[in-house]
This record gives sequence, structure tokens and C-alpha cells, in this order.
Amino acid sequence: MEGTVFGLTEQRIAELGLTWGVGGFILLMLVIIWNLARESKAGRFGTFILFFVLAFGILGFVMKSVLQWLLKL
Amino acid sequence: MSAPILATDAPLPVRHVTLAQPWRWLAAGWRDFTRSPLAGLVHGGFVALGGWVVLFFSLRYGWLAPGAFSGFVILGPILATGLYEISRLLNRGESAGLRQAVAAWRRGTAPLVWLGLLLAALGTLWVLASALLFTLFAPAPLRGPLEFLRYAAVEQGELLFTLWAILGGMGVAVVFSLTAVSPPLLLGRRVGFRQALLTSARAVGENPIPMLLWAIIILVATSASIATAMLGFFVTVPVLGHASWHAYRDLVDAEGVPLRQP
Repeated sequence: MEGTVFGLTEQRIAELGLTWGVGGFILLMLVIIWNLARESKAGRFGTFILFFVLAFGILGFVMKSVLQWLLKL
Repeated sequence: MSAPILATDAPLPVRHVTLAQPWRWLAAGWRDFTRSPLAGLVHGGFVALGGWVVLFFSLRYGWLAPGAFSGFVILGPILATGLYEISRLLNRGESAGLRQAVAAWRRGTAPLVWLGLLLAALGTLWVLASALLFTLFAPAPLRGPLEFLRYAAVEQGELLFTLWAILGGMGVAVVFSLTAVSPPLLLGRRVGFRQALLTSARAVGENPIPMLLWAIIILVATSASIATAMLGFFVTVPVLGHASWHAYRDLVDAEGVPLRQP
């Protein structure tokens, strides 16, 4: 077939990457965070990570809006 | 006497701080900067130069950007060494300037080089992961950073953005928690690499909200510095560098560990 890699279409690769690749990566990050929380004996390490991800997302969203505004000028 | 401390990886004791503390660190950082402005400007200048080099490589040769970025990150903690040394001496009531900062660089402790290498590896992984994420989901090949920026800001779907924010947020949160106070600790005291990183994570994990504020201050200052064509780094690098030393002093109780150099 044309436009395939290992018999997979580009769309299928993107699909697999999205579900398994990114999912696995997020899981790996969670294991690292859990291990770090345990070894550092820090009581509320998870709280920090949770709030940080939220803040990071909000900051990213604001930056995205600013970029949109700049690029559309 | 210090053998038991050196033999363990257990994190050092940390202190609790309030939400007012990060602002005090900034004020103390500003004070140190004004007391030793030349050294601060030189440090800021190095970082601005690094920023321009990274920008040049990303605009000119996209594929070299991760390498340029990594090299830049390796130098970060080593460069900041000079600022910590100045803060340390000023806090002891001594005068300090560029000469003392250069002396601290030259002593260049091995653990700080390791820290730089670790950061560079993580930074490269982060750049590669982002690139992969966008290449996978971009409808057409993206040519050049401007097209990339336009796609990232305007056209990408909400799902991709959310995933990127979750992954990136977790990655940056981990890196921040490992490095928030470990460089000045490694520079000042005879601690192991692993012990310094765990102490840093502990300091952050015991003070989640104040340290979140501190992280946001750093993120905003860095973004603003990049947005001013790197010129902001001339001020933000020395102020944040000195402030990090004061944060370390407030957060970590390192009294039980011998000094690296008396």
C-alpha cells in the first residue's frame, strides 16, 4: 500500500501515538512523581504537582491567547 | 563525625514557609543585585547571549535547536553558582563582586556539572517529546518556527493542547521540585547528589502553595524576559539567582551538614 509504514496508515499511527504513546508517557510521569513523593518524605508533594499542572495549563492558555492575538495582527 | 550524614540519601530537614516568603526572597534578591550590580549584569548577559544563540539556531537550523537548548541548560546551574556565592558572602557581611563569582565558577563543583547534565538530558527529552507530539498531529509538515508557532497557537485542537499542558506541566513540576533549592545546597554543603535532589523535592512537597507561587513568579519572569528579546534576562537572572539562595536558606535546615569550603 502507498503511504503506509509497517502496514499502518499515517492516521492509524497518529491514533496509536495519541492513545498508547501519550498515555504511557503520562503514566510514566505519574510513577516518577509517586516515587519521588515517597522517597523525599514530603507530605503534600502530590498537592504541589496537581496545582502546578493546573497553573501551567492556565498560563499556557493565556500565552496561547496572546499568541493568537499577535499572529492575527 | 559527618560520616553518618554523608553515608545516607535521606533528605535533610526542611522548614515551613508562608505565602509572603517568596516576595521576601525577591526583595532580598533585588537588594543583593543592587549591592553587586556589575556581577549581576554579567550573569544576566551570559543568559541573554545563550537565549540569542538558541533563537538563532532554531530560526536557522530547526534540527539544531534541541542541542543548542541543552547546551544552554547545562550552563545554567553552573552560571548561577556565581550569584549564590555573592549572596552567601554578602549575607556574611563581606563584600563580593565579579572576582568572587569567577572564583566560584572555577572551583566548579562536580555535582553541579552532574546537575547540569541531568537538566540537559531532561530538556532534550522535553524538546523531542514536544516535537514528536506536534509532528504526529500536525496536518501538514511544519516548516520553520513561525509556522510551528502559528499552528501551536491557532490551529491545534483543544485535546492536543490539554495533553501537552498535562505532560509538560508534570515534567516542569518535577524538574522545578528537584532543582528549586538543590544547586545552592550542593555548592554550600557536603551533600550527595541524590540527597540534594530529594531535599529539594521535600522542601517543595512540604510547602506546596508558597512554592507554587515561587514557580509562577519564575515562569512569568522568564516568559517576560524572552518576550523582550532576552533583554529582560539582564535583570531577572541576577534577581532570581540571588533570590534562590535566600529561598534555600529559608527552606533547608543544613546546619547538621559540614560546609563544602569553610
